[in-house]
Amino acid sequence: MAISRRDFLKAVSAAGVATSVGTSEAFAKSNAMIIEDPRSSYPNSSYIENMYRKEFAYTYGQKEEHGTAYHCVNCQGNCAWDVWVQNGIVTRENQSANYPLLNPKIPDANPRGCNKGVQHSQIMYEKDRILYPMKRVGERGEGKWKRISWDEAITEVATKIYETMLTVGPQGNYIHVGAGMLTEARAASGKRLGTLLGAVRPYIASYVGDMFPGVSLVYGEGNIGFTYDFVYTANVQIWWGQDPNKSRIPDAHYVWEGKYNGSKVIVITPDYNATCKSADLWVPVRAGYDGFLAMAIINEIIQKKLYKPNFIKVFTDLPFLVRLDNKKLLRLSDIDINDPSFDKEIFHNMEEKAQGKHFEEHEVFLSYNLKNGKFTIMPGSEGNPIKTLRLKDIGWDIDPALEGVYEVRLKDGSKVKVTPVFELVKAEAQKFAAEKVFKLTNVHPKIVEQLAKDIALPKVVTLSMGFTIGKYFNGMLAQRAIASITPLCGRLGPYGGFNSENEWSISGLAKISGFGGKYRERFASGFVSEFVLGNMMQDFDKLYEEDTFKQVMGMSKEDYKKKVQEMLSKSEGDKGVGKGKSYWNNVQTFLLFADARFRRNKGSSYKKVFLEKAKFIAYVDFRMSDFANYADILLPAKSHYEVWDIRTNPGYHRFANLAHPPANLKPVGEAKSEWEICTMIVEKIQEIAMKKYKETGDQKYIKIPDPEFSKTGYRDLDTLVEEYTINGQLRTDKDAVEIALESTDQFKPNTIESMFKRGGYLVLNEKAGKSSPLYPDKPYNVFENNLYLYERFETLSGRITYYVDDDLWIQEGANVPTAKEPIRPRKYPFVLMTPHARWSIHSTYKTSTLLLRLQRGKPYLMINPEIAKKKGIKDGDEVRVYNSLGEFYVMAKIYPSCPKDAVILEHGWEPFFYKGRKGHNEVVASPLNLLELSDGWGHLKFGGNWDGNQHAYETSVDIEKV
Amino acid sequence: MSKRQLAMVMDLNKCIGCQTCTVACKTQWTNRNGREYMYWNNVETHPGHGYPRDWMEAGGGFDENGNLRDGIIPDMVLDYGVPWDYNHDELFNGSLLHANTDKLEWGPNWDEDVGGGEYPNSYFFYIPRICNHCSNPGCLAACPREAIFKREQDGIVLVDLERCQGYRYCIAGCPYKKIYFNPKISKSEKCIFCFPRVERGLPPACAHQCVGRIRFVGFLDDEEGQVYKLVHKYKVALPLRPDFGTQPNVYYVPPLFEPPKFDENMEPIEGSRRTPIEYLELLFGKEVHQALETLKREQEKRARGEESELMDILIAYSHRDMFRLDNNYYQGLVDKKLKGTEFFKVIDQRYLQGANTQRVEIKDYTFHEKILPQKEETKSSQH
Repeated sequence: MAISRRDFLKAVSAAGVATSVGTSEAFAKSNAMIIEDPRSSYPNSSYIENMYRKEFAYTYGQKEEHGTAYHCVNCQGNCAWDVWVQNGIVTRENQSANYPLLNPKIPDANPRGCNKGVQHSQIMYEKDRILYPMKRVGERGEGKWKRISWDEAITEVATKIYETMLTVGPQGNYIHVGAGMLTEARAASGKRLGTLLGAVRPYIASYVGDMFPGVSLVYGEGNIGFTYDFVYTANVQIWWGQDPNKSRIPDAHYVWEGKYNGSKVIVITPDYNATCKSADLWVPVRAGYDGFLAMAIINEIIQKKLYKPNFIKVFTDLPFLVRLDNKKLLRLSDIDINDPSFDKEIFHNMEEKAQGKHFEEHEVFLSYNLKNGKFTIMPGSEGNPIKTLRLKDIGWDIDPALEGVYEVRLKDGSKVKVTPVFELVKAEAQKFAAEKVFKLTNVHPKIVEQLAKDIALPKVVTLSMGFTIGKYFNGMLAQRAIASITPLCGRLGPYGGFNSENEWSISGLAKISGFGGKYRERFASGFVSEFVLGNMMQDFDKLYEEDTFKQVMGMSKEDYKKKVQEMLSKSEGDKGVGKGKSYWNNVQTFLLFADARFRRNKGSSYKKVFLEKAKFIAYVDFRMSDFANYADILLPAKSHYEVWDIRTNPGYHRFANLAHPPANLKPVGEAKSEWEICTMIVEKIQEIAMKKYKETGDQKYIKIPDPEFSKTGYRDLDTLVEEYTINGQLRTDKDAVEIALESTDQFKPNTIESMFKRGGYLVLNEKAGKSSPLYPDKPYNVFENNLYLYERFETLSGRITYYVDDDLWIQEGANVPTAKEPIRPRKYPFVLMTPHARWSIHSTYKTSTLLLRLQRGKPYLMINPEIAKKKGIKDGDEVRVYNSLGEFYVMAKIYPSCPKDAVILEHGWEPFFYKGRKGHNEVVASPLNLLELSDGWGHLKFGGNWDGNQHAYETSVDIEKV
Repeated sequence: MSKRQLAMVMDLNKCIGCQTCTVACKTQWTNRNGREYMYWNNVETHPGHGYPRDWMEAGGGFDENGNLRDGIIPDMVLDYGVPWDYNHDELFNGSLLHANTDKLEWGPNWDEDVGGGEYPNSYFFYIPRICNHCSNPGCLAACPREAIFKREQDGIVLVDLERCQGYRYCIAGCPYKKIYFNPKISKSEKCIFCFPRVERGLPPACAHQCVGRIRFVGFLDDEEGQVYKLVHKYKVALPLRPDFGTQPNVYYVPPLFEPPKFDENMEPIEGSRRTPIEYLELLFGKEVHQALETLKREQEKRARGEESELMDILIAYSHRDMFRLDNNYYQGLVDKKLKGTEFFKVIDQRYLQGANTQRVEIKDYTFHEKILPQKEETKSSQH
């Protein structure tokens, strides 16, 4: 509807009358310039154009001076940025957007980044920036600080660490790099320091509650899956307990491009989240009942015979036989091998092929071979030197039964009935038939039917599970059940399957974080350490109801507590190593990097108890977090644009990114890199120790005994500096990056220069794939080597594992995949869901003014409109959220996509955002799950793959208008 | 009319509401100099109030007869929301962190994800909004000083701050409320389509930095370009509120994706829509039916394994191909001795192609090294 000049003039005059500002007198101000039609030409435009051009040129600065960076907080996104700088001050950042198009038919990864990374330039100069070393001069938390010199600060930290080594031993120190600094080069500084000094180092994924123990159980490792471009190729994408549109911002485009490419997108979450809005199907599972739904799907797949028998016979333990008398797996060590029903020929052939290698009989398992009606040992398990999963080979041809009950003769001559694991899984799953659990799950049986088909039938199906699932008390069981679904349908490698998060195999980084095996790390269990440090059993007591607990867990709270104490008592301190989840109770000196622990830890008592135990806290960060407020010494760190660093894992993509500070960058205060700080600390410790030694001549001042964790039996303080710095080669952040690049095969061939020229990244080479080849032009997914080369999984059975015959697991009915209800108190009507936020990476960037303005400026709770109405709560009202453990205050946001039995609060708000400094974790207890605490069975051995979680979602609350 | 029109298409099916665009724009232009409250780019949840609040009810634009409609100036507190600040410095005193006002009552994204409907049948989607650089701008028509103009070369609408007297008729006149009063200089400012970036080979910040990869930028007359194809060839990209009569040059692929509703037994109702089609009609006009049908048809085709150029375009395999800035066209203006072209030095080679600029072949993925080509080199690689 183009209008004529006349109409236009009419419009202009109409405007004069119609608009509500000014008067027509305003027209009186005239000018000699005559403009015919400003829609087509305008004289003298260059004044204003040049103003904006100059403004742009100013922010852009000189290309040659730009840096590259990523935002290495715990989001795992890992995106390459181009950092703009003017006169040594960072002006802004713009994604490099220069990742290669790997395959012309698959979208590239550009321009990875997000709403948080895009404003780092603003917060790096914010007024909460810690500029100088500071010493607390008031009470802890009181906010009284004195600026001190670096030397004074380092002397104090080094002295405290040294004194602790002398008085308590190395295990009195706790040196930890927190979730605010998850990178390869930079984080290695504190890790290396902790290892060198023998300090306690907790597992991070465990204490933040981001571990996948239920997945480790099934596959032998918890972090498995695809690069996100893989979902583009899927026929069906399932996102379970996940909201990629919010929490995987740089990768979310692959979901929707995949949908344009023909994939069906299914989201399974209690709330109608930002990803649901564009999905093909949303499955509104009730909070905490994911495991029930997973079991219902397993049942549907089995009952409708949608599983792939030929696959599960080879790649899972489902054909393994279980004794019906004691529910234990049938082992070679159990049976009479001279009984004619035992296939001695196959055993013999395997023995022959093993060429004298030993059979660990209690780790060799049996199946019933349908080919000849005999019991046979299965290749590939932990105790069988034959490591292939191939069931047909020269020497054996096994078609293991999945069904039936058989009788086998034991060593003592007695006979016992056995049945394949599959039968037991089938029977357990039947308890969770879709119509039976509908009331609990809120998921209609027709949806379960559809899900089973969508998982089983198409060519490529991905099932991705988020971090929320493990945040329930029985979430480990839910993780396990969810992870157990796709193998039934033969999904590995190119056919998709389960995803938590992929990890690349990156060798060579041990050079910057370790000491070639000379020292063992004093790794502590994350969830246990925190539980003990905060004396969190009292929160358990206060929050949970006896009846509910007993009904769900089949034991009283007292019995549970006794059991926990019993298990914990075995694994405490140096003597407890190898006897369960390690932890050290006598830690007293803390050196923490980027670890805002008081916003993370659960319960109302943690902070008080922790501060009593912690005799000394040194805290390294670039900003004044809530926790920093309680430190004794504050050390100013450089932030992401000021350091050298490199980051790869996790493997959402195949690129390692480089942090390369802009040229001529002006320092921010007296900030130093963590590498510089750690180097100063070791120098100072050595100096103090040597001085003491020279004064006394007593070796005990430079040789700290550490028989369990040092090969030499000692921590030698007279050589600390040469050890830490590798004779001076590794002193700074830049040194660390250079050494990482030199010593990591998967980075080759690359240098800082080559990465910088490319825009701050390198492409990992083919060696980075752990269990699949990393093809140059295809998205990555795990377990191709298992599928095609019959390589074993890192599990006891060598296979995808459904059965655990540990006594405790049998006792709890968890020998097969199962589900248990939440233990949250029933007297409070709302589950408190605290998902990952769109606006922060945990607490990082939560304090950004720019980002707060795009939210509500302070913490807000999302409430279903009907509930709000009943409670007389209006949008914007202040609301008290409470239960028997505590309370906190927030703003109400009326939110139609919130279920009626839950309230939602994006997590990451630090206590200092809340009235009375009481954050939302005041109402959350995080009890230890006994199964997560159990240790030692098969591949369930304490370590990076088998620890436990803190349980952020295991609480219920009530709300009221203030 | 301007000689050529630079335009943008935003695909709402791919928009994830992350607001990286909003913040990219903010750090590029509006974190300073009286622009702090402005969002030249914002993302709003629909159905919803939008930003500034209820802008669709705030008048402006043209009626059926081409007359400017009555309009109001949004209220700073109630409609834009005051950009609150924080006491970060007081964290060193053990203080709580809080905004410098007790009244946190409204902001540019206050009703984020709220939308409409009731659980479990709620619905929402996002609309990112910049200045539409209209062919018939309401702001321009309303300006008594004739201080608003469209650039002849690319149709970008700018305010001549030399002439602007801050009367604010433009704000009332713009039906999208995408022109703002700068209280510091008492003049109006607005989204400038990042022309200083475009002239130098870098797409607008909101588009270049969009991680959902929803934005295409190019000239409307560039028949090889995605913008032309989405708008004219497939007609799946539609202007927002075409009834406002300003002829926007920002186009939207309307939201097609959404899951079915549930009946009272929690069974999904096949073929049901959550977002009322009337709402989409209100936003995009009757043409939305045709656009959604085309999208659906092509998507189904693709799902069957058939070729679909439309799906290929929307998938956007290569990020750099989403932008066709036609740098030779701009460089041609240098030869014409247009004022200000001394600023036209190319800083990025990757997005230069267009109707007058052949595809620049970049053989390897160097970024820092090859970024500042000699002029001769640029030309030789183009011809």
